[in-house]
Amino acid sequence: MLNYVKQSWQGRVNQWLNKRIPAASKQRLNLRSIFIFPTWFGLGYLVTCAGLFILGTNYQNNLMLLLFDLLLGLFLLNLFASYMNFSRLQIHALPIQPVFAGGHASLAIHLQPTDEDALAHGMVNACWWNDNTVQCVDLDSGYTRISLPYFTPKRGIYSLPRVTLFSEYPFGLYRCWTHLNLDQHVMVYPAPHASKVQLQFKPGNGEQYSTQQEGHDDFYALRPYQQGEPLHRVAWKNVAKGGEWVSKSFSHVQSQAGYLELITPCSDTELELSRLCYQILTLSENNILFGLKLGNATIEPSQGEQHKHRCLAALAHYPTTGEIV
Amino acid sequence: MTAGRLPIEGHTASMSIAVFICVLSLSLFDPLMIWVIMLSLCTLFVRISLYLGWYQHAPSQRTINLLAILTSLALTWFSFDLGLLLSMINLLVAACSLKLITLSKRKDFLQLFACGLFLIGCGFIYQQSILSALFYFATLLFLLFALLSFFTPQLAWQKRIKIISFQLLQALPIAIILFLVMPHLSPLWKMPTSQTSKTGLAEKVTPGDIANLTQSDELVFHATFDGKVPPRQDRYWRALTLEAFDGRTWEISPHRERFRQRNQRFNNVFSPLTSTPSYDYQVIAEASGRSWLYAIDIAVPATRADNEQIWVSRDYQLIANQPLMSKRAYNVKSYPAALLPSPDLALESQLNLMVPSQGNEKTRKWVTQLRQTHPDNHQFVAAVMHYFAQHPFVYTLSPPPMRQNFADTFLFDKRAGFCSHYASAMAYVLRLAGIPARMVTGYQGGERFKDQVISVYQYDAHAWVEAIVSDAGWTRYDPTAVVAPSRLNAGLREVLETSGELQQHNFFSGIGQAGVVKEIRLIVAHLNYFWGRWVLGFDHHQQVNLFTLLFGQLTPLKITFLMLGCMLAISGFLALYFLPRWKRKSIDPVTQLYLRAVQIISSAYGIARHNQPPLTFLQEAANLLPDEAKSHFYEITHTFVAYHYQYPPLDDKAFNAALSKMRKDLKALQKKVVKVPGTNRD
Repeated sequence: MLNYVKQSWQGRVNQWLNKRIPAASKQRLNLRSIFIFPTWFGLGYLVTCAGLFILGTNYQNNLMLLLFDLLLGLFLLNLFASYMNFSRLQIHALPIQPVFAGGHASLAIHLQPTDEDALAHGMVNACWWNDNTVQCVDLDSGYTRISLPYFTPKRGIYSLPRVTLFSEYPFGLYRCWTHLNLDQHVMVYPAPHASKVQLQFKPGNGEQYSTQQEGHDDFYALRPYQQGEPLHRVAWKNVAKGGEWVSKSFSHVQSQAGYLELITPCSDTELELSRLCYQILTLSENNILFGLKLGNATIEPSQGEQHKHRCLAALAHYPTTGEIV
Repeated sequence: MTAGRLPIEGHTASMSIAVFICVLSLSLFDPLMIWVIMLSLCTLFVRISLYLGWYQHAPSQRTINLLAILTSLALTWFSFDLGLLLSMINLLVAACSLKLITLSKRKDFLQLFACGLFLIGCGFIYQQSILSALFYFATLLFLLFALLSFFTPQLAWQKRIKIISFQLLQALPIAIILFLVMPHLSPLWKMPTSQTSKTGLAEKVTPGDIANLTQSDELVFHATFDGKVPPRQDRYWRALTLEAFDGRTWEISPHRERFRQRNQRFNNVFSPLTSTPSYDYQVIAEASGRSWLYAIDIAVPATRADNEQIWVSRDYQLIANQPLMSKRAYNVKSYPAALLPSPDLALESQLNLMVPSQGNEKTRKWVTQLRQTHPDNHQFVAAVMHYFAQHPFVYTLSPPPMRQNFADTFLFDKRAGFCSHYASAMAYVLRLAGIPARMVTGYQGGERFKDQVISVYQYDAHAWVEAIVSDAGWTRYDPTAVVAPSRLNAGLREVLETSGELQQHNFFSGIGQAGVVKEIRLIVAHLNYFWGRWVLGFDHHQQVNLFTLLFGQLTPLKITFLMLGCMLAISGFLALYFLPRWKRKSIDPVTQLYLRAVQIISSAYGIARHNQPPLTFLQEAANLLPDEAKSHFYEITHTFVAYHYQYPPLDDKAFNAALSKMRKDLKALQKKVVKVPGTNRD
């Protein structure tokens, strides 16, 4: 029951926030997005002021009353000073790197002044909304980036929750805060699971056969190293002996490109996807041409970093589990 | 930071707050016990060591707890002597010091800050001069500096000072409005007070014992008169009536005290009979730590607020319901009279005839003889006064000690003393003769500070005699006036000058000086007067007066408007500080001047520049412009081009020079262009 109330309340707040502070990767803080309220310390300060007022009245001491008035004025003033300082910030999220399941995605937030003449000061703290692991950055230190780690247990595409930013500058009497949706989606690849590489070859005539690929590549010859060649091809043994820089060249056994394929139906799709992930990583590492067939989608054989990420993304996108976007 | 634990080494905030607490505890030297001050000094040392990294860890909680137990034991022990207020202040400072040693959490720091604010408030209980007010507001700045350092650890300290000063300056107008408008209430409840050893009148006077007058040139009060100021010799500021006499010492009669308390309990108000001529004045009394007030002759509180605060006792004393812990203003109406009606003749006569049965045999004999020749009270008093006048009595501030049989020694042997000697001897003599008499202490005279303002200093302290000579009441007699008439007419200074005693008494040092020093002292005195009257003495009465002066008779409607107006004013100030300014188009002055020049030429000759480069436009304009104007425009254009495209850019000096030259050129250009006849504007 309590849980239900809590959830529906949370839903309401979410809805309201979505309307009030819509998602954007770059946001300026303004009247709509900043919330401000006295901190516990601010309330304590008011209590102290009240004490001074009573003391001043009872001793008929005008200087104490003047002190009280000054402190009260300062409290009023700080409401605005605090807000102004916070509203000088402009926040934008840096593109977020995909991660493997079980790892931490890291959202990097860049805090910039909106106006170079009016800089914001003090500490800015950041955390995920409804979470209390706080990261903070001191704007006066010149370092204006905060990274928030986000734990990603499962593959899929997730939109990141709102980020809470808060500041208590200048005297800690007020806390200015905001809950920003920086419109960031993190792509979570399946966690790689060791397995044999199983490339499916599709010859021209339509017959299917599969090969066991031992060692995936055969060593062919050594040739002089040329500038720009990948370093992992260098025959380090030769170099270590004091010889010339030479690189190994390989011959591909198969003349045709193979496909990695998700065999459906299978008992554990997630495990299969993890295996595929491992295979994609190994194949890419060894610069082997491969394609990927996932259900209806087919990625034509290719190689290289971009291709790898395309394939991994396809794995992440594959339906059934995770949040589909 | 939010994690709670604070860094130790090089943490400016905790270092600053340590310095703050140490400075404040030093400034509270008077109320604090010496070991509490030592404790705060030790704390400062610990903090410095931590700050510089000599120690890596704050002392353990256990050590501090042990210290805390010791401290609280000691404080409990001393609290019986100190009274509530002083123990509380000592406790606060000691607690702050101990907390400071263990300071390692965010919460601790913020608590210390709040205590610091309170300590500043406590400072104001004891010191209220302009200088100490400035000092305490400076410490407030420092305290805020510590707080800001806490929240902006990496900001440069100059920047922090700037931010705080700016904020304080912005808060000041708001504070002043609040100060003027916020109701100045009467005390909500009675607060503990401390017995401070202020100089001034004492509740006991023992003339024989005081070998040296210890009083000073401290100000006692200012009195600001509405209308006529009474002449110097009539300014007898009564403070205390001393009716109990034990042969040596005069003090307030315990019977009198009991009556007063009973009357106060039953709210048995005494309204003295008054006659028409009266003086209206406001007294701003300095803090004395006592509750008696000063007023001339028959005095009654003038306003309702004062009536609530001041009790008029049946011996014509004014007694405030709270000791004067700070400057205090009150309004009085005084009816000058040398004869005060006695509200309870029989009882007062009885009270004021008591003398010890033994001692001063010589005086007793003399009184008996004198009484036989002068059975009439008036005549007897006159005879006593005559005795003082006839014999070689000396008025001196350093009389010889007279311990045994004071009256005998004084009247027949030494014959030297100051006012309390004369008053004491005379009252004693009158009592021996069966005439009820008492000693009254207070102040006499006072300097004219401004036209309507009299300031009274400690050295104006005086004692005289009141006696019931006839049934009408108490008549004032001042034997000092007979011995040293100039004491009344010209003041103590005059008396001492004639007797050559002035050099021994350095408390006049400030007055005799001439020239710049005197001027400065006068300015300081005026400042102090202003400070006392308008800041320290600003009470409900003055508040109402001020509003009446500004807005006429106050009605509830007007007060509502006033409050609304003040709120508006405060929000106006806030808006002024924080509303985004209308951003003027930030065109640099050089470009502005150039564009003006272009505009002048375009409107005069009907050629528009559009988007032409400046040099192209110059060529086009050169064909039309007269020679002089041409050279001016040439200069303007080239300065403009140089300003924007030249490398390295102009430095400030060159820039200013170029700018002023450009202005001159523009002016000249304007003249030349306008003078050209037959322009083809379309």
